[in-house]
Amino acid sequence: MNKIFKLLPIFLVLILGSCSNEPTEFYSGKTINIYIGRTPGSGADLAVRLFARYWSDQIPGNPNIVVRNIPGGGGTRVWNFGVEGAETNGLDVMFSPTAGIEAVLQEPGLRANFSEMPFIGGLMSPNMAYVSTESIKTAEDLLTSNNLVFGGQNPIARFDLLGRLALDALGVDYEYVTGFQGASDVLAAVRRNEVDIQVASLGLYRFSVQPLVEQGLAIPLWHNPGTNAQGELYALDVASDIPSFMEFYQALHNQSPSGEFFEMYKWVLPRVNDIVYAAMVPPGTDEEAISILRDSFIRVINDPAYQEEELTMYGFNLPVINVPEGEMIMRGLYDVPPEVDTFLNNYIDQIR
Amino acid sequence: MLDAIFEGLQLAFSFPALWFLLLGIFIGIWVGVLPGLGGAVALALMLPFTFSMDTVSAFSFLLGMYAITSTADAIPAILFGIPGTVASQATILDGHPMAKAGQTSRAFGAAYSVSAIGGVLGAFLLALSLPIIQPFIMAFGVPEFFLLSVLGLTMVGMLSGRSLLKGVAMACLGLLLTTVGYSNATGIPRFYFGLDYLLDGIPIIPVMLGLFAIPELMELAASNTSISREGHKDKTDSLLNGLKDVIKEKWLVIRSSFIGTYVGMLPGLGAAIVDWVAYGHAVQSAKDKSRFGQGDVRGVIAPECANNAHKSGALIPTVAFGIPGSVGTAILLGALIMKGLRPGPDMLTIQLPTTFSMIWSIAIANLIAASALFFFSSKIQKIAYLPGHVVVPGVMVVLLMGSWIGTNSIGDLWLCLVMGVIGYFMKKGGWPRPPLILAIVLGPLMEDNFQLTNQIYGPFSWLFERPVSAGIFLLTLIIVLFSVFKKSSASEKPEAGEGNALNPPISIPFGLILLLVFIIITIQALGYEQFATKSFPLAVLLVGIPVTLLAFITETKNFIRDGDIRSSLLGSYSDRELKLSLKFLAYVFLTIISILFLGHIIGLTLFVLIYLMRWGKKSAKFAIIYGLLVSAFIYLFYDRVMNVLLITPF
Repeated sequence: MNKIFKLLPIFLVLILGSCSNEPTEFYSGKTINIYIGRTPGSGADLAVRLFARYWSDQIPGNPNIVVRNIPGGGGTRVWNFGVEGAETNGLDVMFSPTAGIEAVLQEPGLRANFSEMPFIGGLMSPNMAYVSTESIKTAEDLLTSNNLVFGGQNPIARFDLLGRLALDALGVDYEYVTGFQGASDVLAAVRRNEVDIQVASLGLYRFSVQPLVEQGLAIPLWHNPGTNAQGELYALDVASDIPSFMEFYQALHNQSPSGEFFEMYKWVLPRVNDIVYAAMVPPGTDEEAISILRDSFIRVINDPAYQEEELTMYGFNLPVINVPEGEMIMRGLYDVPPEVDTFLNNYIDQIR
Repeated sequence: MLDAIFEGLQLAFSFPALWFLLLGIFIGIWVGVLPGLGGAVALALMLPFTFSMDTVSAFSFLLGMYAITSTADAIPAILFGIPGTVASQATILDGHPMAKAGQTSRAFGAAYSVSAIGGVLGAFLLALSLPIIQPFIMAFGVPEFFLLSVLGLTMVGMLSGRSLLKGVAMACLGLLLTTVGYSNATGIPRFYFGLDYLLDGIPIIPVMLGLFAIPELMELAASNTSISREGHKDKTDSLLNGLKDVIKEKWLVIRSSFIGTYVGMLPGLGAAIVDWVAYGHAVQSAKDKSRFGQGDVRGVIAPECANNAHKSGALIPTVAFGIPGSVGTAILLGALIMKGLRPGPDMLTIQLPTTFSMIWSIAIANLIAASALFFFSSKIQKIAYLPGHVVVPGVMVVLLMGSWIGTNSIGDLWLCLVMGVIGYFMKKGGWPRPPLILAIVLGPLMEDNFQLTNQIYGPFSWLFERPVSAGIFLLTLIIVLFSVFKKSSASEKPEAGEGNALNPPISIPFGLILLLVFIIITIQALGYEQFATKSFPLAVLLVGIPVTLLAFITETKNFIRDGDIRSSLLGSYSDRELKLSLKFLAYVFLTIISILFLGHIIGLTLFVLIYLMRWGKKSAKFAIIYGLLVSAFIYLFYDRVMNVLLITPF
């Protein structure tokens, strides 16, 4: 018994010590600021706000979470803030659309290096291509039609770049028209028969394009697939009703996709399309905070209430990007072979 | 159809939907009154609260808020010359002069009642148009949008006062400002001078607030008079007289409602344009234009009516086609989807009662908001009779916060100050400001649709192949020729617009500086390799340089011919005015610096304290109480409620 009493102080120290290391302590009574590089009410803003509502419950200590907007610089300002102005105490989290293509092309204004920012978690926003039936009646007609108009927002937007690469890989004769202010404007142009093909988010497809498909006014073509750790493309479960690009290519050409444009499509895809919304913290952020945030990020993804609300909002659940995948993708942004760099710059400059 | 209308009415009046509508109206009034916030921000922040509501309650709440921001935004526009939202830009042109002339209540009466009527008429037109609107919307493609923006620019003629040349030069400057930042067609950033802040282009809110509000506050601070220069209520100043004005101008009200609703139906044109279109129409259709810009109630009626009717019109493409025309309607579309509704034919058939409940919500919200504002107006209008030094600090705080909200960048505050200086000299020198703002609103629409038209339809053949395009083009041509003919034949008859001030010692150097700016931009634009990057700015400069040169030569010739140079130089400015104007600018400059180093709360509170005690000669007690209220307001409202990113000390 005496022995127990002698050891009691040691036990107490151990218990108290472990308590102080409990993640509950770290965020208890604190406020986490989530910064998003888009204006309030934009699609990304609503996605992040939805996530933020569930995040606090999954972080031990239930901190208060406040979402703040830092739009500007084509979405790069928030990331610059992440490396230049944000705190490293674990209370500042950037959760915003990544600027993958800007990083690859070293566009002006982006000073953050994504590969140096600890990755917390990411969400993929699946997307797909469809065509108006005003110009073609079946997907096979793509190869025989001339001068189909592919509408986009600007030459370095991911939907524009992926759409062009995919159409070129398929060998479609098309004209690229760009400069629409938003995806809804492209959709409006499709409805007015000014544009034939659009690459749209799966959300826009589910709620605004699918009714057109049901009325026979549009045909879904393909969805842009995901990329696994081995660099192989895989079809997304959430878009299983639409063929993946590989399946679509196979159906049209009776062979697997290949060629320069396809190789480039494959290279670009994970860098600009796999992580659409990335949560990252400033370099040098407290390790304990990083660990808590990463764990809680996954718990939100698995929270049935969050999943249900996400399902109502998008019609599907956004696929998640885990930390190893995310870190690999971010490193990949800065590993650009010279031939890829030359190809992409020339490809984009053709339009400019 | 009738069944659906009544079922919709029943739904809108059901409980708890009606309570949520009232709550939405209450929030919408606040959002409309405070510059820079806008309906979209409020909708985004409030959207999560609707997740647990039933469908009708959720839309009553959101639409109540959405519909009436453009009623409440008339309050700062009339009182301070600060548009509460982008939809009330044109209201300030006559609304604020009415307040200065002791006609605040009358302007409020006209604005509120016409907002309610516009909102209800818009809802009515929306209901009538639902089954037949598709062909109308589909007839407007990118060439028509381009031509509509050109047609919109013809209003420069009506907003330029005596000098059409100066108005056109200002419109060119406005168009050039819209080319700053990434070009949509090429993705290449233009004229950004290595500044990240300019990559996304020049935000309209700080420009608008700086251009119009800072010169007003400068005058208020310098004179320390009340907003109403009369110092007392005019005998004819009453809400009822405003209502009588509306009844008298019933045809203008109806036409403006049509303009608002049908412009709203065209996705992409936006609320910022509709008030200008309606204002231009009011000027154009008036027999006596002499009072426009100086407090003509028709200049309040037309834009306020149209901007409320616009909200109804904008619902059509959102609900019927799933194509939102603005951020606000995009959020409404999101809410629609989250409630399990699908935009499209269903909304016009099996979900028609729900669609009508939305229309009723808009109509009811407009009526309730107008009644509430009528009720509180006697209190609000008293601000117009407070001493300038009491009003200036509070308004300045709201103005700087309104500028900041857009992108949360210190660049917004500097831009607001720079535009304030430019706006002051424009006002003094008779270079009209409205054409500049109009061009900033229309510029992106014009360039984007011009580039898209070229890509899709090729050069100009579309003009003869598309009947709607040909019609708009003809109309534009007629208006331009009419304007030029009228200006050239005009005698000394008074004209509407701001360009009437004759002040050569300010006007001539301003013209010279503008010319130099245009030349520098031309050199830079010529340096761009890609045609699509430089074509629009160069086309604007092709008009801007000769017109500015002509305006400069005309001003100089008139000055030499008519002027007693010495007395003109001395008379254009009193030493005192110049000194006080510079003093005010120094206050704003130092406030921005202190925000940068001490943060928003301390920086702005210091401004209030120092201004009130040093310039306003108020007691320390008064200044401290005022300062504490300002600090509390910034912290509680902007930081805690709106979650705006604020700069913190050091």
